[in-house]
Amino acid sequence: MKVLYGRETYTFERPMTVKRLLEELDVVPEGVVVAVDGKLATRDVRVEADDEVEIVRAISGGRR
Amino acid sequence: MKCRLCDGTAVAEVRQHRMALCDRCYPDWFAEYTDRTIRKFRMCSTDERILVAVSGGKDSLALWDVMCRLGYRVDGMIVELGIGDDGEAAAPGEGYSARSTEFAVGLAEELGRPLWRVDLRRLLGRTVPELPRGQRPVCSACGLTKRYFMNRVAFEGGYDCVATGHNLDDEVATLFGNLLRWQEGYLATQGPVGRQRGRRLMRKIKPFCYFSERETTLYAMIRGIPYVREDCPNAAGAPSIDYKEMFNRLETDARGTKRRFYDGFLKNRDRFREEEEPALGACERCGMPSSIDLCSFCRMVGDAPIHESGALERLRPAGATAGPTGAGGDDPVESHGRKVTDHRASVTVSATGLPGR
Repeated sequence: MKVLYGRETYTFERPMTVKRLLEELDVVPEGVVVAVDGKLATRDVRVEADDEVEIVRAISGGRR
Repeated sequence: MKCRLCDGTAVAEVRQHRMALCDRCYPDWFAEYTDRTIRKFRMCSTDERILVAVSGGKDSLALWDVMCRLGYRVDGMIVELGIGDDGEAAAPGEGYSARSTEFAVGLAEELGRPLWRVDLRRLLGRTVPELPRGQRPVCSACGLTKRYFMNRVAFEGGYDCVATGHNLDDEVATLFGNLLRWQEGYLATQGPVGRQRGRRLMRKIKPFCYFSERETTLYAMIRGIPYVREDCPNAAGAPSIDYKEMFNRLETDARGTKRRFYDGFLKNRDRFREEEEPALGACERCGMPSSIDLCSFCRMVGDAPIHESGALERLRPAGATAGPTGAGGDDPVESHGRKVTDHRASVTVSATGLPGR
């Protein structure tokens, strides 16, 4: 699967759940929204090897 | 996961409420919860005229959308800061701020609501990165500028209050930062409602104070609201982002941590209040609220053209016209017995200038 996260692209060969994928990338689930093939996905969704995943960062902010 | 409300396929997990919702139920739940928060803190009423300060980001645009759906009378305002418009990365008018403004203008057209555009370059002759800010970090100068204009536009435009898209993560990160530095003055005034003082310091409300940043992102994405996704180029390395990431790790291990921290603070906030508030007068130069002769903004920008009589009068918003039917096209939902309307789909407004108060 192809995974887009920020400006980085990652590739994984084997299927896994969204939860497992976020663990692999050390991404905290609370700070992101995940879309699989353009559809929003909860953490239990299984991602297949030919799927395209986008991890959207939810965090924004500035300096006081 | 299944939607808690209709048993459909869930797309949005809301861990702080131990539930997941589908793409039809989530926007309605989100709107109803926004309204509940507004009522809990007595933020505003549907009779009032509200100015929502938008940035082009997900939170403020989602707020504008949801408040219109709930039947509040909400116009928008954006300060065009000129960030990222200089240098080699972008030609003037094509940078981060210009792109942010495009998203705000787009939503104004879809909602059919007026949008005030405060163009700093036109008004001051300089952008935020060019402001004479002394030792002040650029984000601090930017925040001061935005707070100044949201208050001034609300006052001069005859609005009852200003709504901002600050969410639970923003509030918790700010609270944590203030606690780290024991800034008791800031602690005393932080919260979902900043009360009006006198005629010129407008009431400020934060209807999203109980939503996580993830939850507002989900709303914007499910509703199909385009927003600027890139980070502000000045925000890299900001402590608030570190604090948010820290709290998200805590929240992952113990759901409800952020909400408990915030609610606990609100219960104890009064202990930071001084018995006598400093007297609030008017800035000698601009007339806006200030506890000393010149307000912070005027001290920063000096004798800029903003102080000319009627400077903001010239910025009255052009009328917004309803655009094409909004994405989502949801049916109205009920909130406390009131219909929630999808303005993006149904409103046709051709306003010129601001209606009377």
